[in-house]
Amino acid sequence: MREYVTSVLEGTVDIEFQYAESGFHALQLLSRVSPDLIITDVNMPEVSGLELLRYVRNSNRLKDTPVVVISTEGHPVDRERVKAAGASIMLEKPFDPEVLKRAVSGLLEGPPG
Amino acid sequence: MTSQLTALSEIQDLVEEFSRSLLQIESERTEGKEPDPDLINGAFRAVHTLKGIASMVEVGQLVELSHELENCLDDIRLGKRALDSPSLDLLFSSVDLYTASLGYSVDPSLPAPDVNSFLARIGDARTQGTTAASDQEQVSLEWLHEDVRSVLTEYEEFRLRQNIEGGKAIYSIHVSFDLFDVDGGIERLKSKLKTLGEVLAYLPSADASRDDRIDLDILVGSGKGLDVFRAALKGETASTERLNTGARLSGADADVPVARSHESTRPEASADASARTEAAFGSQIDAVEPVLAPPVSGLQSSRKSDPPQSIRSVVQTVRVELSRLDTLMNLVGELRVIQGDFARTLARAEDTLRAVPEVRTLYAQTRQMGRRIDELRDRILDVRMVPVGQMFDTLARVVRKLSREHGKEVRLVVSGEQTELDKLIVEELSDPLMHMIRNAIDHGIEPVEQRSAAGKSLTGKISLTARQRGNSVEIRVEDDGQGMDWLALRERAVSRGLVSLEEAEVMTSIEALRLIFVPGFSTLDDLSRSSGRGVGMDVVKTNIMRLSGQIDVESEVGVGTSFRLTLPVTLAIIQALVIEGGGQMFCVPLGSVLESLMFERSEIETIEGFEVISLRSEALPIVYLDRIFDLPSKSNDGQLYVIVVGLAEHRVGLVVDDLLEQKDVVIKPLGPGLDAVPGVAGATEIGAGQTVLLLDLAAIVSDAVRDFGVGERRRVEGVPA
Amino acid sequence: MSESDPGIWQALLQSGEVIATEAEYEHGYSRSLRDDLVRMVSFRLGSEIHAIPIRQVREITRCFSVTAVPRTRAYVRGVGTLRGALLPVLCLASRLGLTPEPESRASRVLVVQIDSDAFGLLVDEVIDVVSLEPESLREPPSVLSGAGGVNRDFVFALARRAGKLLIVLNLTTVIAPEDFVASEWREGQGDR
Repeated sequence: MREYVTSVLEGTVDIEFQYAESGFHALQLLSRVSPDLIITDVNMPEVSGLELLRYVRNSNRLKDTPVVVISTEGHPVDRERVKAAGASIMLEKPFDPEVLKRAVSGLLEGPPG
Repeated sequence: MTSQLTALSEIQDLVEEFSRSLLQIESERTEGKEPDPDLINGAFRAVHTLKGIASMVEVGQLVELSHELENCLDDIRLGKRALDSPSLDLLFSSVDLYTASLGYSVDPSLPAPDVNSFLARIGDARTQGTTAASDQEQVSLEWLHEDVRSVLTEYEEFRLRQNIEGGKAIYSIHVSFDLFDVDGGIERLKSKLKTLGEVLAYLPSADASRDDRIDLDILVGSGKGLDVFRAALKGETASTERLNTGARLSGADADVPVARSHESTRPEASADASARTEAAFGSQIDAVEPVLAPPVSGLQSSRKSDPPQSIRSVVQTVRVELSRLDTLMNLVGELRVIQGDFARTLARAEDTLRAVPEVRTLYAQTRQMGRRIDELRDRILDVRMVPVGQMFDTLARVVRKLSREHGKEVRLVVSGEQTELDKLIVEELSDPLMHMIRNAIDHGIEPVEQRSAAGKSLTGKISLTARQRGNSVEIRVEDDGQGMDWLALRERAVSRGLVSLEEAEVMTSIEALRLIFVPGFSTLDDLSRSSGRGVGMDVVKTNIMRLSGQIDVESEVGVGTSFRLTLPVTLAIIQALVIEGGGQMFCVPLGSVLESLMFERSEIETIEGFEVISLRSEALPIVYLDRIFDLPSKSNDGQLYVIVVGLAEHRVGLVVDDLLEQKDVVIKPLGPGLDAVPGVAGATEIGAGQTVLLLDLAAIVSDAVRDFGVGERRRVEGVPA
Repeated sequence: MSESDPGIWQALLQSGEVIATEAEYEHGYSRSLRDDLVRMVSFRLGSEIHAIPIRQVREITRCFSVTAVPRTRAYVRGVGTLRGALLPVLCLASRLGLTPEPESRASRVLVVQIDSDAFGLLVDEVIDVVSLEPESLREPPSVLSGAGGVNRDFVFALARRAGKLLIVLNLTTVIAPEDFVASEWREGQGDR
């Protein structure tokens, strides 16, 4: 999914990407950097997207960071739950890449946190 | 490696991982245990990842296959579907289908795998097997904090409920790790936690103040008491508390706090001082401080200016394509040739400049360089070594499948999986081993009734062991089946006319057992009837011998049979230069090539009728490979390629049509008859199925020297530039 | 010996040499429960049918790429790689002195085993696996030797099958590795 998202966003938006291999890595990364936007899968082993989201929303430093949650097909995740957990936007695969692009641009330009 | 190949290679690894999980699940079931939910989840994850990778390459129907399997496994792990024998069979068949699909995508000459009928099967099985959404009373999770409850995934929640229904207590362990040690720390903790119970979820605590630490709350379901936990986790930066009593626990846990609600993720006053010991996480860890520290306000989040930190855990293995190793070996080969030239030049210089000390030092240094290069070559050869365990896994699946097909109970026991062999040997071994296992299951292991009547364990055992012994590796394939009757074998050989009566009379039991390796011992009929493949032990033996290995057999009636294979650790691999001459490809040992050059045809001069070219002020006599072998000559191009070969003090140039590449090749002997062809030293396989002869340069060139009086002439004449 | 085929065998039949007849053969074959029948692979070289005992045949495979080896006799096609193992391949027709046919889709390579060595024999077509009673095998007539045709040493026996003559070959004489290298290149050979 990472490659797909990168390929969709590359060139459209002026973005520098940093990648995390797993939920744990994301935690490590997030402790070091404060990104402008987080894109995460919901289904990850051990530390899931929802758990990551909770971490972000509970963190003073990161709580206003826009988060895009993507669910891979075949796993209908409860949209309500994801919203309640604080996702800015949720996309379900397969999604129109344009939607992702617009969402990302919108969130980055959006009202400052 | 193309991204396609990388993807296929990753998919292959995942299929193997999936298969291993299945084998473990099955063995746990056979032992009467409940399969470890982690195994099932692991299988699910493997297929999920596989699907992700497969969606990026166009390979057959891997995505559809993975999608269905993923759903199936999800149902299983969520308890919606039973993990019974039919389901397992279905899953195992999918492994075969994956393997066939991968094979087919690389080699379309293979039969195309029938994915559609499998998809239909799995679709049917799914609709039948899925239990109706449970309308049973759901266990209440109200004691769990809202925050936590809302972020648990469906699977995590399912496992949580399962644990509670199973009477387990739920613990929350708060841990704190140094930022850079999260992975390692988690691994260490995981192994401890696994002995205590089932890890249900990892919940990261948000603590914005500590940028160099990461805190987590880990939920664990366990039947053990709190004290056990605390004891086990002593020495870790962890504090444990119990969240519920568990629905059916006896009242003996009076000292345990009952139904304690778990406040957010900061166990403030509940911090159990005794558990807060100094962590043993290496020198970087500072003293444990209370987790609750006031959030630091005004923390400037530096956005893009943060330099990206390296956060990947140490990669322990690297996937390498064999052709890259070939390239490395070529470079090493070239280095060696250059070094050889150096050494020779210096050796000559040393003669004339004997008095100059630097020259002698240079010479010694060059020799040292040569030794290091040789060592480099050996280390690269080492990289080709792979553990035989890879192959053993595949064989485990074969055992499973065949024992089903033959209606026998068989288990495979392996040891020595870490023993290493050259990758090529391991690949050549898989067929022979498969045949032997097939035979063992087919003829060796008796049906259950027979075994029971004989007082043997109902499940037959086949063991595969690998062991290194000096320069060889010994692999044993043993079964505890009915063994072979050497007297019967002897009789059969006589009746087939393979041995005479007199020979038979003096035959020992060992010699009689070896009769199975004689071609014709098993007729094509026997073989095709029983194993479905018309190949006997004689073929197995031939194949082993082609690898310069040996095979021997021991057997005892009623007890079992044992085969012992002895194989060299590496094959005869040499660095070769692949050339073209007379319209045919040949290869020559790089070690015999002093140098290779390109010349214009116009540069050829003749001396006393012999053709020479000028090489650094010396006349190099040339001979033509196509003429030597009486092969067609290439049309008159302007350029010719010459390989310079040394023969004692003579140097001769061998003209060829083209220089193709440098390569490491496995040289095989040509066999009786052909090995007597002068000038040809062996053959190798390049690409798929293309046989290329290895030339004996010394022989070819010395013939030329003798026939044409080359070289000697040159010396006598003292040829000018 | 290209024009040999039907002519000489007809002559043999008429000469009175004893050859197993179809009737004897068929009767024995279809009813027999004997286990001493010799099973053979029969194959075609030109218009002749030859056979070799099946216990010597390791496998029958389609033609594969064969690399010519210089300085070998004409009947040595070269060496090929079959499943990772090197295999010398001989053109059986040439070896027997017959005119070789161009390779066709029916052509096959019989992989035969003599002791622990394997060789490939290129034939025009593999026909059948037959069971013969040992007593139906007849000595080849002495007429064959030195007649500029198939060397008698190559023929182990003759038999009959479905009306056709079957020439059973003696592999140990047919495959003579010491003969592979072209004469002028043999060690110790004078000029020939």
